[in-house]
Amino acid sequence: MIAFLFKRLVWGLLVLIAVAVITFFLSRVVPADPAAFLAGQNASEETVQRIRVEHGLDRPLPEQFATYMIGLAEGDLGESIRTRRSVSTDLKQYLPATLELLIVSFVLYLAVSFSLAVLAARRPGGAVDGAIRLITMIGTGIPVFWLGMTLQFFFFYKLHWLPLGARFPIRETAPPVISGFLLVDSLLAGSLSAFRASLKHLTLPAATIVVNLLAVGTRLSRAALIQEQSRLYVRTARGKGLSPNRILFKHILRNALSPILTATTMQFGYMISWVILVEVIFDWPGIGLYAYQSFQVFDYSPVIALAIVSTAGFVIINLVMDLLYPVIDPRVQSVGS
Amino acid sequence: MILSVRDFAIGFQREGQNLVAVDGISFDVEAGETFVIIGESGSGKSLTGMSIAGLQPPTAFVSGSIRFKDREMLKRPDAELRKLRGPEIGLIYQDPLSSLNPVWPVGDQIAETLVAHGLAGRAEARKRAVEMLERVRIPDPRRVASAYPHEISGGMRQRAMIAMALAAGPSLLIADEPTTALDVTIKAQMLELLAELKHEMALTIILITHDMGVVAEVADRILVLYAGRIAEVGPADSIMLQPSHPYTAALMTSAMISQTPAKQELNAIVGGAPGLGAFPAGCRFHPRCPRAQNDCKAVEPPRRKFGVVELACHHPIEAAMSLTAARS
Repeated sequence: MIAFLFKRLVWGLLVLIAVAVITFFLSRVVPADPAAFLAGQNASEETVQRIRVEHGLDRPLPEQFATYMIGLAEGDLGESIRTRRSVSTDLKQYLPATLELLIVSFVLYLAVSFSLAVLAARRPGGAVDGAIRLITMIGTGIPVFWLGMTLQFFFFYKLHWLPLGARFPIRETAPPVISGFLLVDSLLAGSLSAFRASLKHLTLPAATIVVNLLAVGTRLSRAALIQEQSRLYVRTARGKGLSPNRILFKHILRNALSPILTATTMQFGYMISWVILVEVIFDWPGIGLYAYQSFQVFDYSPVIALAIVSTAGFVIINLVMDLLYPVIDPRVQSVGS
Repeated sequence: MILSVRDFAIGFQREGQNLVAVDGISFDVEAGETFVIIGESGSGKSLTGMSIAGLQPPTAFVSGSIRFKDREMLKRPDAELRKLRGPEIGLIYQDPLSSLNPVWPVGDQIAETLVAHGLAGRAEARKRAVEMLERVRIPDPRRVASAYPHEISGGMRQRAMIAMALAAGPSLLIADEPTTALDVTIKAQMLELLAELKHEMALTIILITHDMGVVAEVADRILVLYAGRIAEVGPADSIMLQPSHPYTAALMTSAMISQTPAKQELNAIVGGAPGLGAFPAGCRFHPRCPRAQNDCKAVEPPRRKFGVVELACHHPIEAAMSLTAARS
C-alpha cells in the first residue's frame, strides 16, 4: 500500500515536471514580447528594456528555464507581470472559486447523469431511453460558449432570475473568507441571503459545464447499468423475490459503481478544461479567468501555473479513485498488488 | 399435488418469427417428491423451471397453465409472484460464483431474503443467516457469513446458495443444474445435503439437470425433455433401468459409457440436439434415433401410457430388450 502510494506520487511528480517543461517552452515559442505589452504603446525602448531586465526576460532561454525550474522546486510559481504579485498569492485568491465551481458541477453532474442513466437503463431502446439520448446529445453538441451565452440571455436578460456572472453581487458585502468557498463561508457567517446569492451565481456556470458533459456521462453510466442488469446475481436477486427498486439500488448500483467511477475520473479531466472557458464566459474569478487574462498580455507564469495546478488536480483525483476501488469492490484486494 | 403444469408453451419472437422453445408440455409434481427434469441444453428444461417461479424472460410469450398450490403462476403480476419467491419457492442455480453478488458478504445476502419479505429485522435476519449456514453443514458459519463469495470455495458457495434459497422456508425448491460447476466429490456431498434437507424441511424438489449421474442419486420421478417436448415421464426406477423411449435409453447408455474408465468410442447419440426454430417434423428425435421409421418422420407421436410410464414414441423399446437395444 505504502509502496503503491509512493510509486504513484513519484509518477505524478514526473507528470507535473513534464507539464511544466512543455508549457514553459510552448509559452516561449509564442512570438510576442510581454515587456512591450506591459510597457504600453507609447513606452520608450528604454522602458521596455528596463522591464525586460526586471523580469529576467533578457536572459537566454536555457537560463530562464533553469531559473524557473529552480524556483518551481522551491514552490515558487514565479511572478505575474500583470498583477505584480507572486503567482502563488494570486492562486490562493482565485483557486477556491474554481474549486467551488468544479465541485458543485461535479456533484450535479454525477447526480443528473446517474438519474438519467437509471431512467434510460430501465428499458434500453425504449422511448425514454431515446429521448434521454437525444436531449443529452444536443446538450453536448452545443458549443460551450454558445450554451453559456444562451443561458445568460434567457435567465438573466429575459427572465431576470439569475445573475449574468461573477461570484457574488457587487453591491453586497461578501462573508469573511474562511474556506474561500462562498457557499461554506456564507453559512459559517450565518447569512442565508449570502448563501442564496452565491448559489444563484453558481447556477448558470455549473449548469453550462454539466449540460456539456451529460451525454457522455449518461451513456457510460447507462452502459454500466445495462451490463450489470444481465448478470446472474440479478437473476438470483429476482429469485429471492426482491422488488426491482431494491435490486437496482442494493445490488446493481454497487456493482456498476466501479466502471462508472473509472469513466467519471476521465470526465473530471474534461471538466477542468471546460471550467476555463466557462469562467471567461461568466466572469467567474477563478484560476481559469486569471490565466486567460494573463495570457492575453503574454504573462506566462500564471499560464504555466494553471497547467501545473490542473494537472496536479487530475493526478490527485486519479489517486483518490484508485484508493476507492478496493472499498467499492472487495475483489480488488489492493491496488498495489 | 403441489404443482400442475398443463399445455405449457414458451417461445420468443425473433425477426417476426415465433420460435417455440417449449411446446405444450403437461406434468404434475407431488408434494414431497424429487422431480427431475432431464434434457440436453436447448431442450427447454431451464425455461420450464424458471417459468414455474415466474422468472421467464420478459420478452418470452407463454401459454397454457402452471398451477402452484392452486395459484395460477403464468398470468400473475410480478409484484405478487415476488411474494412467493423466497417464502414459497426457493431457487438455486448452476454457477454459484456469478449467481452470488460479488460485493456483498454471503451472510448479508442470505439475511436479505428475510428482511425483504418482512420476516425478520436486520439483526435477527443476520442471526438466522448464520443458522442457515450451519444448517447446510458449513463448518464455520460465522466466518463464512462475513466472507465475500470469492473468498470461499465452490462447494461452500453452492451451500450458501442453498441456505439463501431456503432461508425464508419455502416448500418448493427449484434447483437448476446445481451440481454442474462442481467436481465429483463435492457433487455427491451436495446431492446428499439436498436429500437430507428435503427430509428435514419437508421440501419438494424440482431438479433440472442433464447429468444422468445426478438423476440416479435422488430422483423419485423423471421427466425427459427433448427439443421442447416430453419424451418420457414416469417413476425413476423404471425410466433408468428400463427406458422405453430410445432417447432415454441413449442418455442412459452415454451415462454408462462416461463412467467406464477405458476410452471407448462414444456411440451413444449421433448428432446434436436441434436448435431453437429448427425442430424437425414428425418425432423431433427421429433424425438421431436408431429405431426411426417412416412414420416417425411424418407423424408426431402422441403421448400415451406404456407400462408404468407415459411416453411419446411410435416404436418404444420393450422392457426386456431396452438396454441392449440402446447400444445397437
